[in-house]
Amino acid sequence: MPFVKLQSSDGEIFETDDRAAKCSGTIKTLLKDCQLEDAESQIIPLPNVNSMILTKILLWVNHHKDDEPVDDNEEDRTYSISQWDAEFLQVDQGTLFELIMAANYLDIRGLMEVTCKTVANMITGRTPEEIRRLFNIRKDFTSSEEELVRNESE
Amino acid sequence: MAHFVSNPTQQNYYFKNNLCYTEDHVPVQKLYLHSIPPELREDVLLPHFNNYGKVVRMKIFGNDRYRRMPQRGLRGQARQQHEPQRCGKWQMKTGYVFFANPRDAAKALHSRVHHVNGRRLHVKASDSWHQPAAYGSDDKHPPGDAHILKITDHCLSMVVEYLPLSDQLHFSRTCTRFRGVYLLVTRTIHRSMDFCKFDGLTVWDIKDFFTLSGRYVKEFKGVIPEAHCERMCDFFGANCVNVKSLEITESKLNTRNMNKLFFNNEKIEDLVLSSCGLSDGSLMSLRKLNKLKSLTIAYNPKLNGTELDKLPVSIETIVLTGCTGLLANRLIQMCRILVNLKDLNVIGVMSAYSNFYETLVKKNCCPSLETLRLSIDDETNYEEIPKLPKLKHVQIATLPRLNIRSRFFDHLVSMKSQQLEQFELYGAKNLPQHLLLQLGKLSSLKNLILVRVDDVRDDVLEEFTQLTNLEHITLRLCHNITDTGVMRLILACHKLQELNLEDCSQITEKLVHTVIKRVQHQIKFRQNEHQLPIDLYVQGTKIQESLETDPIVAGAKNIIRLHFTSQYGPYLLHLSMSNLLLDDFDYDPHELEQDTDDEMDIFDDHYMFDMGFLSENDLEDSDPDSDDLNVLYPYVHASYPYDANGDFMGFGIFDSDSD
Repeated sequence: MPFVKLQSSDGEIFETDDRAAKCSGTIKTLLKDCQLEDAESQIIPLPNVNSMILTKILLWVNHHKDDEPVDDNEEDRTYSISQWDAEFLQVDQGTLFELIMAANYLDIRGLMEVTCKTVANMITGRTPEEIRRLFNIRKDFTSSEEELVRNESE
Repeated sequence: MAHFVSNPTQQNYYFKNNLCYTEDHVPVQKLYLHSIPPELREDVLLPHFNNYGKVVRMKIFGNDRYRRMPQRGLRGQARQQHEPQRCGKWQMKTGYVFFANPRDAAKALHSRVHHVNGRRLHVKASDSWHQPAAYGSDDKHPPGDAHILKITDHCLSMVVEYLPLSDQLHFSRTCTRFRGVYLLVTRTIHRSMDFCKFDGLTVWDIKDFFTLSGRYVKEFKGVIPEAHCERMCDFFGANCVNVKSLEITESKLNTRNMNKLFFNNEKIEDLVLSSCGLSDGSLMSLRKLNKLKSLTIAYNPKLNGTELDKLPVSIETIVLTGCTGLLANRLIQMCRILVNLKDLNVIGVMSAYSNFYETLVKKNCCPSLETLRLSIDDETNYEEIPKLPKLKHVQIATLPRLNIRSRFFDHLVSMKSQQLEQFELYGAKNLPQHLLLQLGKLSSLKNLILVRVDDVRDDVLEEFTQLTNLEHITLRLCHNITDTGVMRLILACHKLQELNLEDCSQITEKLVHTVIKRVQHQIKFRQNEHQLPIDLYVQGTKIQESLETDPIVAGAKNIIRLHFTSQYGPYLLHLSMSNLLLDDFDYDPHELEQDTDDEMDIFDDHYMFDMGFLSENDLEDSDPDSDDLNVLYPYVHASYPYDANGDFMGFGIFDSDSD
């Protein structure tokens, strides 16, 4: 089985089988365009992904490399997350959002979907204030009404 | 979790720990006052509310500018006699009071009716977005990174797509970046909306949706939830300026709501307002829709049609099915004005029964009319219909006991045999054979639909073999046709590609086998001229579904495709159409008066809308329009007038013979 070597932003080199690596649209295109198919010694640098995240991602793609390709049909989109993915994504927010960025950069559709679904599930059912609290977001707009009152109360 | 104290549509707040919260869980500090009698002025009300705690600001709206002028002339007198208490309503004022402390606001909300100087006024929480704490407070900003803000807009927009609508709106209310992301997404995912998506949303959510996304919606349909009907109409009218197709059914649309919906929209091309309790006056609100092509106002029995002639002339299709109150002269007037009309559906419109069609022809109304859908009874003069110059498609619903007059067929054959493309006849169970044979002379016919006509026999089908342009034929419930007759028809009409033989009890597998054999033979000798494949709808015949697995049939899908489900989709009609004839047919002149008066609302509405303080329940309780929707009619697809058993029910006409 052919292997691919990936280098994380902090210089660590990971070896993975080529089928798993091709879950990433970015790597797949890279291999095709640069005709690196047989050049197993070639190292692909991934300057946007650190070794911690790359480890997680390789874990994910190895588990999902045999998945059936999903239809593009929007109607069929499911909102459920598999047991394995749910456990895989039991991580802190910093890791979760880095995974989303890496999945986006590497163009791994399945991982992108499941991470975004996870964030959506975190948001669902919360008030805006609760969402802000959950993600440490600073409130940056005021209602005109509120300003009105503040001016009046002064 | 806190809960609403009582009926949530009446009371828009709840109590928790001595504080009051809106349905969006925003603490209440500002109160909305309504139904304030004119004599209660600000200088009286302010001390009253100061009793509860410090009032920061108070404002009372409504003065002479907003007072209803007394009605002039006879009409006004008639109304005052009829509805004496209504006059006072319009002198009532509204306003708001702002407390410095939410606890004091909560105290004032403990009773929804306040008594000041022996007069009553109503109090409720102002809408969430008017409360100072609407967007939460800043001071509690927790330490730590906001990791979510590091991901790209593209990723965030993917998150939004996975959220239910109410959460999408909460997301957009979180911070300006999120709002921007929502605005990116909404233009693609909210192009087509259904009012049912607002189920369970708060008024604030609904308002936010319309202000942020309204302009991106191209299609809107569904039932407007009654609890928020007026406000939805407000929001829709102000924001959904690009809607091209609007389909509202079974919603309460009084004149006021209609004016709100349409005052700002000029792009609507397709409009459905069925079973909406429409009154004549409310149709005035459609007069500026100059792009309108298709209008369906079915099942609005209160319409007399006085304003039908003010509809935009751009209309090409109009469906008036089940508008039982329409007056014949008004229909004629409408047809004279709508010069572009191509498709007229007056099934179940009683007034069209007498001389309507004769007048239509005589006065040369609707010069472009191509499609006419009608129901007929003993008195209808329909013989002249074939004289309509552009006529291509006639759909007739009739009572089973009725005999269609032969003069109609004579005219049809002599005038339209080279023009008529589609002929549909429902319910003419006893149509005699000599008239059926006439149909064989309509040589331009492409579609022929005959349902439950007993005298359609093989010799009639033999006559139909002359219809060489025929592409579709429906012979549903025609029990006397056999395989032989249908086969001859298929072999003779080369363009015939679709046959609906549902519930024809004599049709068997032999038909399928013979047709396959003959066509295969023709193909072999290169003699085939028939358009292939032929679609056969055979539900309810002797043909079993297992035939599809027969190797010969399965191998001949290029010749015949069998369909074992009904071509006409699910049954839509559940209630007997007799309602249309029996109920609500009496005409009350007072109703008309009131609605005409409501036209004055146009300006008042805008004034109130600008203020932003109009709530769903104010002024509406005593509104006479509230009684509009005592009876809601089922919305029936005009092309399928059958009940749950598949029996013909008539398009708004009912007869005990119909079984």
